[in-house]
Amino acid sequence: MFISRIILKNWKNFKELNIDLKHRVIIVGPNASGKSNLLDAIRFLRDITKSGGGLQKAVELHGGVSKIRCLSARTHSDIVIGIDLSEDNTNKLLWKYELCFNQVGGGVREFRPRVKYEKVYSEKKGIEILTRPNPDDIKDEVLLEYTHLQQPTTNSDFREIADFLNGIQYLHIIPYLVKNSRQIVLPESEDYFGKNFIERMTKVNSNTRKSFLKKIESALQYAVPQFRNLRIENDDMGIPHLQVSYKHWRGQDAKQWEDQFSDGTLRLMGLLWALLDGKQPVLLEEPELSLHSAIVRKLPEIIAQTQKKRTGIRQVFLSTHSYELLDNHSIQAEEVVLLKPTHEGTEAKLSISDEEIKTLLETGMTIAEAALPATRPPEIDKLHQLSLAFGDG
Amino acid sequence: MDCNLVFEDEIHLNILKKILAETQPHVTINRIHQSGSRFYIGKKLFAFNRASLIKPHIVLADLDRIPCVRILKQKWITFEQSERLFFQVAVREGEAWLLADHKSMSTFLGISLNLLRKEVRQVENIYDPKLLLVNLARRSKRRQIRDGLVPKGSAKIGDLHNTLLSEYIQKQWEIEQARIHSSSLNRFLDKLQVFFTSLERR
Repeated sequence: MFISRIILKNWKNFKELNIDLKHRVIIVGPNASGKSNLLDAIRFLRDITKSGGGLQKAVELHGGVSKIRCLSARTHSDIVIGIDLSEDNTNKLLWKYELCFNQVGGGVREFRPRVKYEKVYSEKKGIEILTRPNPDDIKDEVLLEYTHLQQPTTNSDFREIADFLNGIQYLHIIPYLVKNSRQIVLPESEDYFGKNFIERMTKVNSNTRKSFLKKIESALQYAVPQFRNLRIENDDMGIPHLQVSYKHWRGQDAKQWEDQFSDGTLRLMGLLWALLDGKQPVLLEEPELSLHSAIVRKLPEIIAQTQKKRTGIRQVFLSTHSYELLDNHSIQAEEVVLLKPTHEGTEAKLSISDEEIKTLLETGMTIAEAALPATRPPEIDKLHQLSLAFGDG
Repeated sequence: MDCNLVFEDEIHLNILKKILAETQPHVTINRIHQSGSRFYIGKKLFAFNRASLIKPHIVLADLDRIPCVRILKQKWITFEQSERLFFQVAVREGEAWLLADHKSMSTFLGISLNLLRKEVRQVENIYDPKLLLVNLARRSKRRQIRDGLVPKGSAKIGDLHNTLLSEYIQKQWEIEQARIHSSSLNRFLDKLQVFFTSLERR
């Protein structure tokens, strides 16, 4: 199953968005155009379904309704997130889920997010199997502070959606956090920000972990030829760490712990792990960071390889600025979401719907050549003309 | 009307923006394809020709070491050129067009007008305009010019080449003066006028 369409209204930069998605979704756009915010909408749905989550918690984790709501929202300020879920091989629609919420309160009353409507459509049954607010909600409005998606007692008819969303993973490794995980206290997060990256690795059963580590090690051999024998070892306190043998001029290899790895090595390991681990969609934030351009060029094919699972095709979302990543003829214009900031929020469209890009691709250009110019900030050439020098201005 | 730009480097971009702003004020820039090399433009000119059916394209390339414009065009334009594709070549580099405005350039570089005129008699004949610019900058009275335009180590241009020359183009360079001394710029401007007039007529 994969997310075959996403609909947003008043979500962060996006006043209105409605796009078809493929198994690989590549989001491009200038800085601050909302690439992360688009991934964030999917994480929000995941946060509703995770244990200890729910609507109130998800809204809190994402900064509260006033931070979530689009600045361009005016009279209609309700926030909408909708997705279609389809079958992997046939692309046949299976489910539609749509949630609309806002907040109530003000004055002496605390603001509380509240469901405006929640709908689930089942293609199998051919009908909407959930339509809220229902008579119970009207009788007791407090019920609207909870989605049916988050509660096992209310989502039994569409548990498949909840389980799917719950399995979504997000990767944005910050090497500093991995290396200093003991010193830094972070707000709770199940994401691969770094702190819990190694902990996540230990949660996988030992045979799978060994096989994943072996795969990562064999990939690393080419990227970091000095590395061998990647493993997880506990320290004296019983805390798990990544360890490798590092070949150097002495006869015997040296041991290295994760705090000695380079940023690029850690990020590559994290990326490969996230691609290998899990069946549900994975969201990757700028996977090219800290990596050599020769490795970045390989990413589309590395991703394509890891997408094919025994259970189906795993959906991968990624945001990128990288020319090298997009300079690949295997990337389809249908997979690339172009973001363009305007005064009325960010516009999102698939690059296939842009006639110019389509024509350039037909002549044999890659997405990098054809679509990246469309994301270039119009006045960027003036950047270096600012008075950046000491003493100026 | 809006159009797309295809060019090699930032100097070209600033030249094109200035020319469009002064001679075609009704034209706005839609998309920008910066190639980084002349070879790329040559290889992809066919693609831009196709895309010009959707948006007019203005393409500027440097002649560099190719003997003459005719040879370059023969090599690159192997298809039927769309009337909405404008393609011209700077002889031999965009920097030559900048040197062609003698008075502004001598003020900018901080060298005497006589010295500049002596070195830049015929800009079309300058084999390596970037190198000449660097050599003139070495003799500048202005420290900022010497520091920014003279390359260090094995670099070919100074570390503020684009910054300083972009500012020069925007604030000092006079197109009407420059076209007197550069026939390739003069040709560019004449043909650009014809290009937009015929686009508007259609």
